[in-house]
Amino acid sequence: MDKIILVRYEEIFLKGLNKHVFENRLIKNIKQKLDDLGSVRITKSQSRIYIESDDADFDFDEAIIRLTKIFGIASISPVVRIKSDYDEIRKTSLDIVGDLIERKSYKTFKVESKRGDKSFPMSSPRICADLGGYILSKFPRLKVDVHNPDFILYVEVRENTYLYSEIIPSVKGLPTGTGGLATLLLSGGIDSPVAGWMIAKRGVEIEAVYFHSYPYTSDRAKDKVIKLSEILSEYCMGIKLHIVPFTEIQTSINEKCPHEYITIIMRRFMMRIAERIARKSGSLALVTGEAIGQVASQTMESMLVTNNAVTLPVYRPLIGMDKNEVIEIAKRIGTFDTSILPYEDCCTVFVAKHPVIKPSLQKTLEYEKPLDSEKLINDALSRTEVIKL
Amino acid sequence: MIYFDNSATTKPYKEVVELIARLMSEEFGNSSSLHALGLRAERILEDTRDKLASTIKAKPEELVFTSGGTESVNMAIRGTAEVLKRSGNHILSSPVEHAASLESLKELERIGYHVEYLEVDEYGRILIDDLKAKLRKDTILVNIMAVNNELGTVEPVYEAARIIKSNNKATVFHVDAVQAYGKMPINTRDLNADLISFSSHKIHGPKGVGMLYMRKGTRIHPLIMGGGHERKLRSGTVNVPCIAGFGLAALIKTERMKEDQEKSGRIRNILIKELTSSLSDKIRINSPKDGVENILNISFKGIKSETLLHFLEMRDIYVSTGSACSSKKNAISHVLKAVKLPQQWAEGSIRFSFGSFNTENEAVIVADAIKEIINIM
Repeated sequence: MDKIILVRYEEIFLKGLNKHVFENRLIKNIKQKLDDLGSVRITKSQSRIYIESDDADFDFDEAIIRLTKIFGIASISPVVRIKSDYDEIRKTSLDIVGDLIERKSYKTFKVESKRGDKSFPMSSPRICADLGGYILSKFPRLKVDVHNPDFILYVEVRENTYLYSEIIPSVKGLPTGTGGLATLLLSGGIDSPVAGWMIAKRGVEIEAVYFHSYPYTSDRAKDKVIKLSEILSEYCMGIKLHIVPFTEIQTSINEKCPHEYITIIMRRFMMRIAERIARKSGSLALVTGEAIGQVASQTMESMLVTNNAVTLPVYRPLIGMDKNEVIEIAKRIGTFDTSILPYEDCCTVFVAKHPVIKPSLQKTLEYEKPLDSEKLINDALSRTEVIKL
Repeated sequence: MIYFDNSATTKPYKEVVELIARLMSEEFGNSSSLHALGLRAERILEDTRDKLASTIKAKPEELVFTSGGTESVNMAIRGTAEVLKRSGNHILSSPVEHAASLESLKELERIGYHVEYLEVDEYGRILIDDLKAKLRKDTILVNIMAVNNELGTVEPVYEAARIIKSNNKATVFHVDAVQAYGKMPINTRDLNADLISFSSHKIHGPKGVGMLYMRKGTRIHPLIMGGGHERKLRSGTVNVPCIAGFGLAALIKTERMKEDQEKSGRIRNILIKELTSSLSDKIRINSPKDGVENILNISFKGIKSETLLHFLEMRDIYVSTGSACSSKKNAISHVLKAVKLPQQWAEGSIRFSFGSFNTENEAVIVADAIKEIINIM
């Protein structure tokens, strides 16, 4: 009897002849994530991945937690593998069921069976009926409920037999590294980490850019963004965070541009700087956490004006979402509690009393003229700090 | 570095650090152990208790060591309410107390006590007439701080004590003296309080240590149960090295109190003079003239205080703010709200607080830095 972890993937099936590229990448990512837990053997068979370890003290619980954060994995089951021998199947089933009844005080169950190996002498329905009856005879207080059981005992007869009851959902999506690189504009708020996560979910590697306006914002705000990047990096197989000093640009805009336009002009500078960083690292798109109408700088007119500052495509995965929907994801992925820490981020210090809601591109270009954009951008880039997380 | 944030915490005296380090390695015994090492620790503890008692003219057996000001305050308020729950459920407090008091009182309200807050003037000073009006026969506890931590206002606790006790001798009076200790004389014989809270790290002692004075005969219910240390009032192995450090800091601070406060007064006057002369109508002094000399609260017009704080930090100058800089509402401190400081001033409120290590020259540097910063902001 061996303890192993069964990993299922779904969407990779769709990838036809490229399927092995996705599978191999997924296996590589799993290896990397579990590396420090000890020696692991990862095998692929019939569109599933099996993970086992020879280390007696291998931390399966920790491994499962990490696997729920790897894109491309649909679900995970801790599994017991035995020989395809019916006596052994009966015996092991009793152990598993006994343990479940004790730990979780389950009262109802059913057996589900799949027979991949047609040379096995019993059909699936017969395995279910016979094994179910056997379990009932040994645990008289247990009842069968085929519609809504407390637990299901799965029996998969292949070249070996796999027994399990738990199916733990993972993040789905596509394996990180199969989709290219994108550059995320990351603030300390709730939205941008979620936006980055959603793009990363499609197999895209992420680098993040944060604009730091010290001393207008505290270094605690920077620590908060580093913390958010750390949380994202658990899903993204690592993140490179660029911290761009933004104070000079903000004070120049504040001095030289009409106040109702400072936010939109500031956003354009952020986009330009992010694009420079993106071009240098071979990134194919910018990612922002904008949603239509959420704040003055996120109207359709405003986004038209900010898009005009760059030529790379700008991905806005939250564009049609409500705040509550975003919050729900932020809570699920673990960024919410950090996002709501009350440190000022750079969006909130230099804010006009009445920012323009429908900016005109022509006016924006006009108002930007007094600024030496090239010099400001180059200066900020030359002082940018890079942290690998 | 210029550290003008001594009401948040202080740098410990060098002698204190050395004493604690030595005691931690040499006198690590448990003061409750029966053997000689335990006895030595117990002697250090009791010797320190004597010294601390002498600084406030109390009896040593009237002092209970705690983990700090917050624990002392919690213990005083909640411990009194528990013991006196059959005598009444009415409690009076000032609204400008430290969060340790306010949150303890909120907890009492939640479980059914009736807490009323006194009116205060523009400096947060309680109105004595309001105290007289609100005191009832069934008032079990009155809670007032001796010095306000944000403004430096000295509360009339001596007068309050007389009024409280003449109304009903059984009403317990708790004074939070965390910001007063070492800044003004506290004499438990004159101040007719039943409970007084103290902290070590505000007077150049270590963090994690405080004490509660309990007038002889005052009963409270302990917060922390266990091995029955501190006459069953505060269980937990006693932190002898840090308590000894507290004792030494208290002796040093009491010894130099007058001189320190005079120096703080000069520092405060330099700041006020320098800043008013160049920024006149752009600033507002929020602290009262007759407050403690070591706290000065000033508002800067049109400036968010957190931004000013970070600009000063860039110059290695450390202060605190009366409001957290935030786009969200309710970021202004409850004290500034209670004294009805207009929003535009409250947003730009900075607290400078001085300690033993500050000098007049530092005040000149800080004033110059602020003038410079305000110019570029």
